[in-house]
Amino acid sequence: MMKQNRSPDLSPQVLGQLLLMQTIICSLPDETSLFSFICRGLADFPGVEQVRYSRNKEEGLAASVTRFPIQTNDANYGELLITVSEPVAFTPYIEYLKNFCFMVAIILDERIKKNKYEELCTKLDQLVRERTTSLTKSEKKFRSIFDASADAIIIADKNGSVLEVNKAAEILFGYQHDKMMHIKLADLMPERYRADHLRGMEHVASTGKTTYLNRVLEFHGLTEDGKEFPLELNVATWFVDEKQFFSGIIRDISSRKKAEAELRDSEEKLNIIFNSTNDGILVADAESRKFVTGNKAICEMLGYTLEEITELGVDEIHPAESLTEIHHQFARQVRKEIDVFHEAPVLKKDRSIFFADISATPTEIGGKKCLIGLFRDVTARKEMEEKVRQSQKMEAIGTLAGGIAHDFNNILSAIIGYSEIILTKAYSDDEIYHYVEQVLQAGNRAKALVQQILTFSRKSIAEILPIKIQPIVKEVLNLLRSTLPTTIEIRQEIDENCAPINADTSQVHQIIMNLCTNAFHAMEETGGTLSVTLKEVNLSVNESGALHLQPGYYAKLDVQDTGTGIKEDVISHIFDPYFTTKQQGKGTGLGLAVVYGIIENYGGKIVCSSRFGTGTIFSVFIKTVEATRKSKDEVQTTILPLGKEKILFIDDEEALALLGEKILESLGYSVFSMTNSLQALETFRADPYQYDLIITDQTMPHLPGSELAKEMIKIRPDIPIIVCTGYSSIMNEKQANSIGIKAFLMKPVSKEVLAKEIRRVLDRKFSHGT
Amino acid sequence: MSLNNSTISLGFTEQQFPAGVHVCQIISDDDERQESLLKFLLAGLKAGECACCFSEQINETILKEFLGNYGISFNDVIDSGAFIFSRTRNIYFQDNRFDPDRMLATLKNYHEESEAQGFSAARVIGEMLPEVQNLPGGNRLLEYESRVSLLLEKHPITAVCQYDARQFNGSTIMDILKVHPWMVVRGSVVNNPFHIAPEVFLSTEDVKGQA
Repeated sequence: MMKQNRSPDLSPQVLGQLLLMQTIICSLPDETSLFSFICRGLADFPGVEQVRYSRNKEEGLAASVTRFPIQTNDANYGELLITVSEPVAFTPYIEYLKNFCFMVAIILDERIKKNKYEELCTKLDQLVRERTTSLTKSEKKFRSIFDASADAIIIADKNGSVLEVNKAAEILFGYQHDKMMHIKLADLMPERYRADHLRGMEHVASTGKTTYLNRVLEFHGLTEDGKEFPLELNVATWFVDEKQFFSGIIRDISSRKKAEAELRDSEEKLNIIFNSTNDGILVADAESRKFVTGNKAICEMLGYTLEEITELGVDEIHPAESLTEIHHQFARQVRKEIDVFHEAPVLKKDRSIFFADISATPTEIGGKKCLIGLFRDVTARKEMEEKVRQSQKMEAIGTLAGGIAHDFNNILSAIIGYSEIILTKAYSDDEIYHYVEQVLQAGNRAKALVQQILTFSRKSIAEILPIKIQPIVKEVLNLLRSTLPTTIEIRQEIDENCAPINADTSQVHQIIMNLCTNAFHAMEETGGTLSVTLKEVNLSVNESGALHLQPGYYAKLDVQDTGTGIKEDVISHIFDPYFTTKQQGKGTGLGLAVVYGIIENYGGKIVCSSRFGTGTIFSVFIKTVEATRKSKDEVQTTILPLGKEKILFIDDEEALALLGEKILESLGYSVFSMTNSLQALETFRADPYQYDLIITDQTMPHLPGSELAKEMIKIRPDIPIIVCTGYSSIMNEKQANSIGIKAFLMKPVSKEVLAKEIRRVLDRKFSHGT
Repeated sequence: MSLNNSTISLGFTEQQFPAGVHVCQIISDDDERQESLLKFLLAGLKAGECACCFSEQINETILKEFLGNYGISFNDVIDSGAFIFSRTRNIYFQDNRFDPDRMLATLKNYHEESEAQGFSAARVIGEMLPEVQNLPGGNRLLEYESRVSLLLEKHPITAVCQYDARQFNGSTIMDILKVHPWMVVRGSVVNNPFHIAPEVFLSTEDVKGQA
């Protein structure tokens, strides 16, 4: 086409140049470079003198200048102004140049569009870079949190395939990262959970819902090497492009579980300790003083159940009269001013009272200030302390009694001794004889009373021998018959065949007298019957067991009255020292205590049975012995042994020295009495063989009997010495024997006893051939 | 082996040319420049020619990797003299000036050396830098290019001159076109309609004056 229409003057080279310029200008970066290229290229065009480019339309151009606008319908890029020197040569190219300029406009259009596009692309790139940077940062942040989390984090799809895990998850489950990325969630749990888990995943797959969200689940995990561990799981879910994903945050709670188990164990132990201690424990609210809890021991102490205790407060477990003090001490314990409230009276459910030391510690429980009180029942200790006090009191009485006994026995010695002398001098049908007999009997009772006081205070020296009880019972009843009012009938039933017992006569006398006196007091106002029964019983195993005795033969002495009886609540205290229901002056409270002590000392038992308003019976059981030797009573004889030896009698009391001299002379002896022990020693030293026997009092000034005896024995080792004493805390029979004293007699010494003891000592001396 | 009159490949076009063509490549992006350069060199080395490269944009690392991909050891071809690589500034702007005479002598020498060493042909690709316009002798650039065409008639080195359209202004580009008989248009090598025969070009008063 072009060839057919081309004017003969058109040069292919020139057209080629136009085409080439179109191509090259695409490579030129800006309009300046582009138009300089064009202007330079067109300057050599046929007929062209000059070419220049104008951005704006210029006016008033020369006729030789042809405008070639560079424009499209939408844009104008200026114009080429071509000065033509040879129009003939130029003209054929005008249309080509117009097309060329249009193409340049198109190229510039495209370039602008391209630049805009590139600008947009640049902006887009920038935006993408910024977004990428932001995402990278976000990813890094997420990743750092993800990896730094102490909790394991696992991301999985809805099929349970693990998609991502953090470092903690790898450590917790013991997997290498790559391996963990190829397992299922089911692999991370023990077999027993898997069926439920798979059902759950199927449910999620079909419904898109899970019931595990917003819950903390506790179950067990499974490590790669098959170890189970307890874990806590939080599940979250999200969707990306309609695909559902899950993340699980997993915490190993082994330590917590262990700690919980230890805590439970500790609580159990604490509970065991709390409930196994013998001391009661009560926890009270420090403000309201209401009880929060308590242990088993306090329930037993108070008689309440724990439920009942928690309904109570401090005021309900102490006597009303003590509450002011209790509140005061409670407040002090709350303030830590004191640790222990000693011997607080505590009220049981049954309204009885015991005493407790309450150690308290203030503390805080559940944000409330509380007081933990440790109750130690000190009732027994308190009673023991009371007994100790009683014992100390008795000791004091005993000391006092011992002091009195010495002097009193000396007095009685004179009374009894002279009474006996009178009886040997008077005729038995004389009225005076009968009176002196009463004096002697009263003297002996006084002697027994002193003995009773000494016995009670453990100061007496009991003389345990096989004795028969029958004559003692009779003697006591005879004595009572004359003193009891006629409103009281005395009945006796005494088995003469009852075997002897090992006992001290005066103590048995004391037992019977005390029991009968009590019976009298019980019937004093109303009258009644006093029954005394003595028999020998053979206690079976069952019978003796009930009495805490060994089976066998016992003398059983019953003293029964038909008096007022003893109230049930006091019957357990009747053997306590100083316990008495009698009015002032009628009883010391010592009687039954002494009786009880004597019988216990013999290995026997005393029991009391009483019905208030009906009467009382005391039964005494003392083991009997075979009558292999004669009892004390049986060896008694009215014929006193006599002698003719020379006796030195020493007593610091002149009356007693004289009495001794008289008695001994009445027994046939040759007697020299002295009242000064030092002088007596000198007399003896002067002629040691002048006397056959020395009888001396123990308690004397300057030189006591025992020291005198020692000195005399030093002088003459074979000298027989008898020591008499009203009471001595430093000498007893055993000690006397150890220093060579042959006999140790307790004042007042009866004439009979003295006569027999002298003969025993002297005859023994001679039988040994000294 | 001596230089012969058989056609050669420029590498970046499938066209075949007799040795000694003088081609101008106006480039506007770096990838285009690098691709043409590497392909041109590869084609020469593969054909047993002596190849020479003057460039500031390419480096040994790129050359080693590229040639290595085709089983050619950079070090080997350097050592054997089959490949000569130099920075543009080092070869064109010695003593900080542009000396067309020296360059022409260099080219002549290069061709003679190649011939002497028995290469089948010799080729060179060089990237001209815009700073040449500001260097002493820089105003003789067009003269130089035109005289290269004359030189190649006697010493048929296949030469490709790369000019960056982003760095030279349009009028200069147009002037450069005029002194290259061949040029690359969209990947093809075409006769340059702007080319002015060296005899004509070098006879102009301007060129005479510059020389």
